[in-house]
Amino acid sequence: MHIQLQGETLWLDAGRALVWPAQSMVLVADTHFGKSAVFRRQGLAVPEGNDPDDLSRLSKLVQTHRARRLCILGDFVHGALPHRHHFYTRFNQWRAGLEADVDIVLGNHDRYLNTAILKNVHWHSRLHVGPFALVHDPEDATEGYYLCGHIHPVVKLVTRADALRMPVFWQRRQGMVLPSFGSFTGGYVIERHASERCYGVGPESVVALP
Amino acid sequence: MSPPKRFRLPAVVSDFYARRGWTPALFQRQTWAAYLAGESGLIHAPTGTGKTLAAWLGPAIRLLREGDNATSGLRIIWITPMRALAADTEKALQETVDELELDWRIARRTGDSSASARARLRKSPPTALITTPESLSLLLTYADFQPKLKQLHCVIVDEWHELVGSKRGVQLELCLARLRSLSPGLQTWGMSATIGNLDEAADVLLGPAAPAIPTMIVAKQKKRIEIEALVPEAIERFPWAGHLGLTLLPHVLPRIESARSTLIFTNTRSQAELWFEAILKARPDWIGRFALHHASLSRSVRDQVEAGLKDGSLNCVVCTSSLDLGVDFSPVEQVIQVGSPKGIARLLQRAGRSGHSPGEPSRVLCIPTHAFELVEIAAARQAAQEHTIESRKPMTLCLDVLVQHCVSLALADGFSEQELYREVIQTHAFARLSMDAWQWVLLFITRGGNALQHYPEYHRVSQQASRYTVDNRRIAQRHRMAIGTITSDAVMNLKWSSGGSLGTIEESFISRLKADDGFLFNGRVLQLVRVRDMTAYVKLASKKARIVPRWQGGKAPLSTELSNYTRRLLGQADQHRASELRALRGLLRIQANWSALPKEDQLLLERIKTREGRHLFLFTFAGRAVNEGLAALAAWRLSQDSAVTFRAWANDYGFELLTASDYAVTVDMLRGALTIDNLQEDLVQSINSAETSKRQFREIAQVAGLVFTGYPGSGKSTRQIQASSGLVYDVLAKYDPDNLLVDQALREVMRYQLEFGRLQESLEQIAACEWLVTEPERLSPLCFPLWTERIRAQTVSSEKWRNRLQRMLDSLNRAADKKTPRRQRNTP
Repeated sequence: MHIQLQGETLWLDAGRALVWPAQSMVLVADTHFGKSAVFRRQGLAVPEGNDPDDLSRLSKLVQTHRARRLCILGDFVHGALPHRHHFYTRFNQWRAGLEADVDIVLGNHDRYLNTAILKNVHWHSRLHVGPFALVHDPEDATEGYYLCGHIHPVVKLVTRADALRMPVFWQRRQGMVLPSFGSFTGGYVIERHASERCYGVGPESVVALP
Repeated sequence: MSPPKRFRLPAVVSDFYARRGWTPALFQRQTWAAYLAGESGLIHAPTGTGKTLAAWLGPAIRLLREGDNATSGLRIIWITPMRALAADTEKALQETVDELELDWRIARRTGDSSASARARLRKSPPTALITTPESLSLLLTYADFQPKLKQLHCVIVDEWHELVGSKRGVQLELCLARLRSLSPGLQTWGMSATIGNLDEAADVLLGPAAPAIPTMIVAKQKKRIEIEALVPEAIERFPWAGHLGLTLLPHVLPRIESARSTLIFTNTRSQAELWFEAILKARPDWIGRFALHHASLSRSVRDQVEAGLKDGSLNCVVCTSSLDLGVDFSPVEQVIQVGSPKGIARLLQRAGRSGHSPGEPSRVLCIPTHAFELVEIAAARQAAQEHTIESRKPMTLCLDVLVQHCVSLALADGFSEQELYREVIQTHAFARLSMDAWQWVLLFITRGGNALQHYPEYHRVSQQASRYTVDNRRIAQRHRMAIGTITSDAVMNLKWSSGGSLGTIEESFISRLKADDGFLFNGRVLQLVRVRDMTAYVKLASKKARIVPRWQGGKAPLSTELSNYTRRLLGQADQHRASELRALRGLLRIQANWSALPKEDQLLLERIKTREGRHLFLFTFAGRAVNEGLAALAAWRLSQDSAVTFRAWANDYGFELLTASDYAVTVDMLRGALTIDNLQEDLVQSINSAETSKRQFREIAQVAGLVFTGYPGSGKSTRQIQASSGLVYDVLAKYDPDNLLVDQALREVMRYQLEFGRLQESLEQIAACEWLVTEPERLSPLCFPLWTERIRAQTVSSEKWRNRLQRMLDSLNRAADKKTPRRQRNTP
């Protein structure tokens, strides 16, 4: 669905992405690549699986919206990955096939990331585009209206007759929090202030919640 | 029972009895004779009748006869399900050894033992070792221990009824098979309280390959048990539903005051906290002589309470099932049960805690917490009189336990494929293990299965020819730490911010607390200060308002046996003479007038319209687990024909289906949705299979070593692991669908969570019953408890996400528009 924010027209995509047509830009947050490897190191028997799927979800978003620029708002990877980890090769191959600029804002999970191995990516600690400050953690925003990730916002609706839990775009007074993109990521049930708006992400569409 | 065989009691043993002025009981002599004749079997005797001596002196007499050289090497292993019991047992055995002037060593090995003590014990084992199933498994992982078992004479399993229906029982079966291989001719003796399937329990303990049928020794039970209910005077003002039930407290207090000592059992920890608080409020001067005991309190607090019960310094203790077994204190004068006991065996066991003086019956006073529990109490009494009691069904084919056991044995000295297979199928649990499943287990421990074969850390066991060993020290260390089948809930330690431990509390509860919320714990209102490293630091709260924590584990469902009696009694309520039913007549008349009161062969369906929508209440009396399954099944089948959303709830008596008011389920539709055809497939679809089996999979993943719970003190959050084992399930189900552990999770959900067999019987009954269909104008007394308590809603929907969301938003908007909500019309 389309929304107006800080004078800009934005499209909230059910693929958990925010699209900014004027800048030809697709924004996502919290991809948490390599999460299964980190789990394995911690003693959980998880085979590889989601990373290739998530990368192709990203390509599809860029193609569908004919974007020239992809921005990932932090927590690009889930944790420290060994140098020879095949995610790096996989990412570089994917990157070579993508016809768009890639900007990545570093998040708290990215602190051990060896950025040098990943080719053709612009790295930022924060980024200012138009009226927006693109950051990972809302606390990092010092000026401007922020677009961020970090929180993995989720809303739970319960009535007597039904119950639904969904990731949301969380529009706050000073910024907008994006839902987490990675398919291995959990959610945090937010408590909404009366002045804030939320947009629930469903399987095919995004719906404004009252 | 075999007739007592003649044998001469050694003089030291008869002197031992003579010094105490005792004579050996018949069942003790029978046990010794059977033991000396080389038999194995099961002793069924109540606590406090001398069953320890019955089991212990048989092997002791044998050793005495064989003379001095028998004292080198391990001869007897004594298994106990609880660490707390181990200390008491050690004391009792040591006493006999001292008095018989034997040169034997008795030692105890449990999770509490220090590392050096454990190593010493393996190097020079005692004559008799007291241990738990987990510690025994762990001992078997050491190469230097197994050779010490060659002269083992006897394994004694205490409280076998506590183990037989669980994975701990399966773990022990496997260990016993190992012990029998190491020491052929080993004798096995179990001890059990009353359960419905004693013979089966004995068969399981000895295994299908036992050379002879088990010898059953039964001690005469002289004690009568009296079950009494506290019947409220004015039943109209008594709550129809609700789980607090402190209404009767004023009548309970004088009963406590009239006895020298009282145990008050509750069904949940929350209920125990509430009763403890309420009693202290009513009788503040009891402080110091009155205490609380439940599993979340710290070990030291529980030890103090147990000691207080032993030495008589406490007059009254409120407790949960934490005091059901184990702790061997002198009996109390009176036992009070708050709420329905939900099972006959459990009530009898609790009652048995009271009145051990000769000729005095054991008495239990039951406090109903809502009206219909009166029926359950009367039903429990009638069932006990007719000697109907629940069975504990042994588990079978738990591959997770087998995986763990195989890695354990590979660790010790390695195993050979054929030999171990022959050994494993000697257990009841794996007697029907297929060659395919066995090969899968071997592949899984060596290669990690299909999905994990690329990751060396899951190649736990290495194979050379047909020999399996573990070469990697790190894998060995990890495995030893993770042995066992008891998986923990996500709990946090609870400590004073000024220092000192209070106990444990559910992590999910702490995470929902807001900054200055007070909560009740051990009778005090606490306030959270901070959370660090899986520990919640608290201080006394300044405010009085508080929340009562809800620990997991919750309420046990009504047992099949007890629900059958409950249903029968309810059908006979108008002529039955029991005081509980007489007291209920007024309420049952309301039920009959507003709706109907079903006889034993009738099934009541109530269709009611309220503001919420259209409700269906169907009363099967099949227990909560089965009703949850039936509700999910009916909802799923009904949602196949049209786009509709159901919310479903269940309790012990029946289930409720709720739909929006524009959708009506006819009686024929519901009948059609509750047929037995295609049951298995439909049920798998309907239990929202992923979600439910995921929960079961957590446990399986931990036991099978797919999830490592971390080194002690590493502070890794259990919740993180739990969330993650859900994830492991997803990934395995997607990338390794033939993984037999995924399959096992589903099987366990069907069999143990939904009680498939019972569910099937229940569907047959539903088809055979005469249906009574009523359309009451308001909620009837029978459906009221279900409506107010509404535990664990299930949602089944075939509608599109957007439509569901839209309807919810409309309804939330409507609710917001009504500034003041109308009073609920249906509240009586």
